[in-house]
This record gives sequence, C-alpha cells and structure tokens, in this order.
Amino acid sequence: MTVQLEDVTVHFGRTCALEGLNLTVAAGETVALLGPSGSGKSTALKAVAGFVRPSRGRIRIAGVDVTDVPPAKRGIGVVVQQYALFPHLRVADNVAFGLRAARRPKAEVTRRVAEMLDMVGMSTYARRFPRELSGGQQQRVAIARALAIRPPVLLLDDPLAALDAQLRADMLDELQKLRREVPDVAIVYVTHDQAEALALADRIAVMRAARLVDIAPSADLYAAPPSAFTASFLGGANLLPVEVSADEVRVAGHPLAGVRAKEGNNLLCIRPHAVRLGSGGLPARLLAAQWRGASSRLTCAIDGLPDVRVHIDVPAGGPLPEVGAQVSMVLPPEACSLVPAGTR
Amino acid sequence: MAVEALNFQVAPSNKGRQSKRSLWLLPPILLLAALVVYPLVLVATESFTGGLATWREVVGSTEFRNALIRTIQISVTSTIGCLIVGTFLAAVISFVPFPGARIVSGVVDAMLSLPSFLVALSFTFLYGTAGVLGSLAGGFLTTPWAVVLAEITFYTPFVMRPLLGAMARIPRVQLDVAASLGGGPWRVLSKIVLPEVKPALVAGGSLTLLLTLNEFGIVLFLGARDTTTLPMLVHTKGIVMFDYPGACVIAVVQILLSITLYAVLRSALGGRRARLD
Amino acid sequence: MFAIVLAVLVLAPFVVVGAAAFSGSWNGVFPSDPTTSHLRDALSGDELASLTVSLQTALLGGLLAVVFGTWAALASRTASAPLVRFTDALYHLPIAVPSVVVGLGLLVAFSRPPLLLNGTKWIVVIAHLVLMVAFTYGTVAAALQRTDDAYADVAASLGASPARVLWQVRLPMLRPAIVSAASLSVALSMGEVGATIMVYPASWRTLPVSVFALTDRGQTFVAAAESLVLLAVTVVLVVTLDRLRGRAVER
Repeated sequence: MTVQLEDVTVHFGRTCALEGLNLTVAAGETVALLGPSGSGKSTALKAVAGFVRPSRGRIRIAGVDVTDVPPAKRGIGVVVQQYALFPHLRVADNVAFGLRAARRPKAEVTRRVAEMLDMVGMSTYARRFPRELSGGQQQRVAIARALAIRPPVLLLDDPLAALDAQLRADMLDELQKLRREVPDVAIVYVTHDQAEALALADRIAVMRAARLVDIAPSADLYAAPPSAFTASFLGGANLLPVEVSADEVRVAGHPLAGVRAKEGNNLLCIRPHAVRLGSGGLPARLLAAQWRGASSRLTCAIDGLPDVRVHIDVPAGGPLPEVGAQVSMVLPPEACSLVPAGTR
Repeated sequence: MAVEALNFQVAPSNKGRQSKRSLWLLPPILLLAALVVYPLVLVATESFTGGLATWREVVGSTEFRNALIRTIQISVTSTIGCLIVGTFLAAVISFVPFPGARIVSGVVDAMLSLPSFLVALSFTFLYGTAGVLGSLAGGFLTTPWAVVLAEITFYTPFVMRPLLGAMARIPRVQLDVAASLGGGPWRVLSKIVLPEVKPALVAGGSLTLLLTLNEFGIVLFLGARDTTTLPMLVHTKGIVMFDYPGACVIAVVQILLSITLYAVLRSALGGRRARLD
Repeated sequence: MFAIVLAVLVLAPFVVVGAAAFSGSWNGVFPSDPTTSHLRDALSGDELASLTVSLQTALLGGLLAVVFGTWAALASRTASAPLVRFTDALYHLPIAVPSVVVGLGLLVAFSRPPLLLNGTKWIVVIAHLVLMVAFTYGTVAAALQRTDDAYADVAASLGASPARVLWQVRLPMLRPAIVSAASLSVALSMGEVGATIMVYPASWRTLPVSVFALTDRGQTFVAAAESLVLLAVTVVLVVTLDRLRGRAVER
C-alpha cells in the first residue's frame, strides 16, 4: 500500500511549515525525510498521520483520499519523538490500546500483545509502567504499540533523537531487524541524522526550509548529490568554488583533469575521505589536525582560496605533516561531482 | 483549476470542524454568563434604579469616601508589609540552611488555602482586652493597624510562594561566586537575588494588592469601628440596612477598581497568568 | 530572628486559636481553666448542623466546580483563540471581583424571576461553585498546558474515538491536577465567608458564618473551638482527596 502526498502545504497561522510537498512511498519501502530542525519534515509526518490539516493538497493511502479523514480512521502506526507512552497504563496495556479501541476480542488482544512484545524483546516488562523503563525500552514499546494494529504505514518521528550515542547505534540495528519483520509496511522515517537515514532508508528526501530539496535512492544521493545543500548535509562534503570555461574546470587557477564541466554548476563537491595528500596536486596549507582514533581529520586552505576550508580524512597510522606546513592536495576525478552553487 | 477546486473543498470542512469543537465551550461559558455576568449586570442596573440620585447620594457621603480611602490605605500598606516580610522569609528559607526548611515551605503552601478569618479570630485572643498582649496593646484591636497586621500575616505566603519558586531557580554557583568576590549577604541579596526574582516579586505583590483590596473576612471579624472598607460597606448596606441600590453603587465602584487593577496587572505581567492558587 | 518572625506571623494565630478552644478563660498572658466544654458545644445542636451544611456545600459546590472547571479547560484546548481568551477572562472574573460583590450579585439576580433561589440552599451552593470554579479552571488549564498533545494524537492514531481519547488518556493523565483542584476548592469552600454571608438563608448556615455569629455574640471561645473543628475537617477532607491521586504521573 502506498502513501501519496500531492502538493501538501501546511500553514501554522501565518508561517508556512510545509510548502507543496510531493512524495510517494511504496509498500515495503522506507523513505527517510532528512533535514535540519524547522525543515518541515515533522510537519509532513504529522500531515500523513492526520495530526495537522493541510491548507492545500491531498494525501492518499492505497489510493484512497484521506485528507479529510481523522487520524483514528486512517489506521496508521505512529511513533512520536518522546514516544508518548501513556504514563497511567502498564506496558501491556499501552500495546493493547489500539486493539481495544478497535474492540478486538480479548483472546486476540492478549495473543497479539504477547506477539508484539516478543518481537521487540520486551516480554518480561509487560507489567511495568513506562516511567520504570529506560529510553531505549520505551522506544521499543512505542514501536510495538504502533505495529500492534497491523498498520499498512508506519511513521517514525526522529525515534532515536532522545537516546545517547551508544544506545542509538544499538537501536539502529534493532530497527534494521524490525524492517525485515514487517516487509510490506511502508515506512516514513523522519530524522535529522544522516547516518540513520543512510542506514535505514531505501530513498532519502532531503528537506530544508519547509521544502523538499532532493529525493533519490540513498546511494545515488550520496554518490552524486544534485545540490550543494544535499552534498553538505548528507555526508558533509567539501564544496569548492570552481571556474568553468569551455570544457575545462579550474580550482584556484589549476585545471582539474578528468572532471567534466556542466553549464551553471560551479561548485565542486568531494567527500573528505576521497581527498588525498600526495604529489602533483593543489598547493595548500595545513591549518589543523584532529586525531579521531581510526582516522585523522585535517583542515586545509588551498592557496588562492584562503576563505574555503577543506576537510580531509586520512587513515590513522601514517605520518602527518606539521600544522602550518605546505601540502599538496589530490582530488581524484572519479570522486568529484559538480553542483549548482545556489544558496547554502 | 483542479487545485482550486480542492482548495474550496478543504477550507469549509476545516472551518466546520473548528466551530464544532468550539461548541463544547458553550455550556461552561453559558454557566458563567448566567451565574456571574448576568448578576453583575443586574448589580449595575440596580445601582441606577433611582436615576443618578443614588449615585450622587452614595458617592457624596463621607462614609463612602472614608471607606474608599481606608480600603486603598490598608491594601497598599499590607502589600508593602507582605513584600518586605515575604522577601525576608523567602530569602532565609532559600539560602540559609536550617533544619525543617522543607516543612516550612509545606506550611506556606497550606496557609494559602486556609480561611483568613482564622487570623482575625486569633487576634481577638492575642491583642483583645483579655488577651496575651492585651494590657500592652491597649486599644490596638480597634485600629486599622490590626487589620493591616492581620492581612500581612495572612497574605505573606502569597508573596512567598512565587518568590520561593524564583529563588530556587537561581543557580547556587552564581551566589557562591558573588560571595567569593567579596559581596556581603546584603549586597548579594540586593544586587543579585532581587533583580533575578523581580518578576516573581511583581507577580506576588500585585496579586496581594488585588486580594487585600477585596478582603472581607478579616475586616468582618475584627469589626473595628474605624475600619470600614468597601467590601464591608457593601455588606452593611446590603444585608444590615437592606439598601440594595446603595450597596450596588459601592459594588460597581469596587468592581471597576478591582477589574481595572486586575487588567493592568495582567497586561503588565506580559500575559503571564498570575497563578492564584 | 527568623524563627521569631516566622512564629509570630505564621504559627501564632493557629496556636492561639487551638489553645483558646480548650480553655475556660484567658485573662492573663496564658489561657487558663483547661476544658473541653467548648469543643462539645461546637459539636452539638446548631453548630453541628452548620458542620454538615458546610460539608454538603463544599462537596457539592466543589464537585460542580471541578466538573465545569475541567470541562472549560478541556474545551478551550481545541477552541479558536479569541474564544479561549474570552473564556479565560470569564473564568478569572470571580477571583478579580470581591466575594461580597459576587454574593450581592447572586442576591440581586436570584431574588426575582425567572429564578427564585433566594432563601434556598441552592444560592449558597451556586455562590461556592462560582468562586471555586475559577481555581479549578486555573489548575486544570495549567496542567493541560504542561501535557503534550502527542498523547492524544497517538491515541487517535491508534484508532481511539474522541470520547475514548478523553476518558482513557486525557482525564487519567489530568487526574493529579483534578484532584488538587478538588482539594483546593473544598478547602477554600469550607472557609468561605464573604459571599456566603450575603446569600445564606437561616436554614443553611455554614460553619464560618456560625463562627462569626458566635464571635459577634461574644462567645469567642466556642468560636475558637468551632474554627478548630473546621480546620480538622478540612485537613481530613484534603488528605482523603489526596489519596485519590493514585499512581498517575503528571509530566
């Protein structure tokens, strides 16, 4: 079952929280809405859930227009940011809430609750109250509660934001496993964290200032970002101003062999790990070096482009040049792509 | 064209739902309209039953003018007293460690929901002719100062409550740093604590001003001859003398006084609801 | 210094009233002739009747105040902004106006058709309802402001009807606030004098009015004993109500 958003626009008073979003999520597909805060990604999710009403546009689920249908009749599973587990209900009663609202027979409720708690590994906590659970446990219960009603669509609103770094990595594994448990469910995953989006999503929709910037399969978006914003937000790419003339591309006056010029695209995009230090490259100066365990992050400035900082990730272990030293920076053409400057 | 058609569909249904939701507010609004607004409107009309004559007569009487001045005097004096005592007590509870500080703030909370006439009743024993300080205090109980003291006793917790909250939010480090830089306790209090808690001070003080303006129980129980306030006069005229139009005139003046003050306070506090409980 | 100020200001009145309740006379610095006869007087005849009247008024008025205060707070959650501001102002009106004036208004309004309530107990109950509803509304509205809408949203997404959301999510989550609103309004109602003294009929005399009548007749010791009864009953009521708080968590 697919979710379709057509030109969905949401206003809160005079501010526009979401502007003309078009998006389709197929059954069994995971689409991540990725963007900084205030980009409209949560608003889009709330519009699909029915928590906010679009001022324009239509929302369809499995082809049926649900724009005017209240949330209770949409049958969508939602996991909100702080989980919103009902504090006065035990874990099992939280999971049973939707089934009881649908007046399912008692035996079925019991069976389904047990099944769901088992799926998220929370069976032993059935009699606990939410406040007795850790953040990660609360999140599992919230997911079990949302999936108990067998929704065709699952919406996750930044589910890992409230967790600390270690737990976040663990929960990411859990979510990947969960994805395989519910192969037919369309999942919309809202996040501000590019690592989560890359790990979970089939396609990533990058959002910014209430609008959709780019949408593409995750690998494509990472390998060849269509815009400067996506390039830097997804994977923190370096963006270097280039001069494009005829079919030659120059950085600070130095021609780059093997990089194809494109009309109007005058920013060179390259990932920090793709840049290498070697001979015959661009002359630059090393400004800072941070050791990060498995790698070191170097910050350089190319001669002639003093205001542009270039980040380079080099594997740890090799010798590093002194800070302040002159270096030569190699930009492998296969790792370079050109994007329009636009506004960053 | 299609988009416009869709637009047209969305807008009215949106409105419909909103107005249906607002309908739920109707019963509680009607209730208060019938039980508060309608009576108050009748009070206003009743005050004009004799034309402007009743107004001229009541407002012109020395009795009324004395009561008005008394009410404001007592209210302002009591509020200033509450602010001084309340700030002192709240500062001590917040910043001077001593056993039972928690119990004291519990007592403060409990005081807020007790009837004010208890204080007045105890004054009869404390300062009355036969009481503890009776021989010393002389005729103290019959002066407006007795009312002021009783109101300070009763309303100080209303100042302390927001102050305790605000003082608890001042980081201790800030005070320690100030003290380590050589600021004495008074300097720390006046330069750091007071500016921090000013909003709470304003909120508590203005609430107290309103409540003392409206106070009735204490004045009723102390029953001093010299201390007739506006609410007291409403009671005397309405219940003892059965002069409804006269009582209504005073009630209207009192309403205007209180509502004006309340409105000024609410806007001065920047729309923040002064918590009244 | 601090202890003295605190003692004189806060505690002395209660100690004094308590001591007076149990003493036969008070002519020197300390009360004398310990006795329980005042307390017995305070718990018999008319005074006992006053106690039951006060209890009924406080419980009935408090209950109605809680129902309407909660209703108004919940309904103003979803209504349009100007309507909410209007309701807010309306529900704060009884606090801003002196209770004597509220009483006078009720007296003027309900001594004439269409509703003749003067002389019945209902005018007293209405007075208490009106005065307490401002506090219950304020308490519940403040608690609602602190609760996240996400709970109701999630409940709706799980298929719960608006009624189910109200009864199974919103109200249980508001329970602590509703209970404190109830105990506050019962406590205030037990001690209310201003409006009551304006409207009460002879057949429905509340405890504080009786206390005043006693002091007015010079029977201050019995008045003290009765005030003590009032305090004790109020404390018992508030503590009992507090038990209803249960486990519910307010966020």
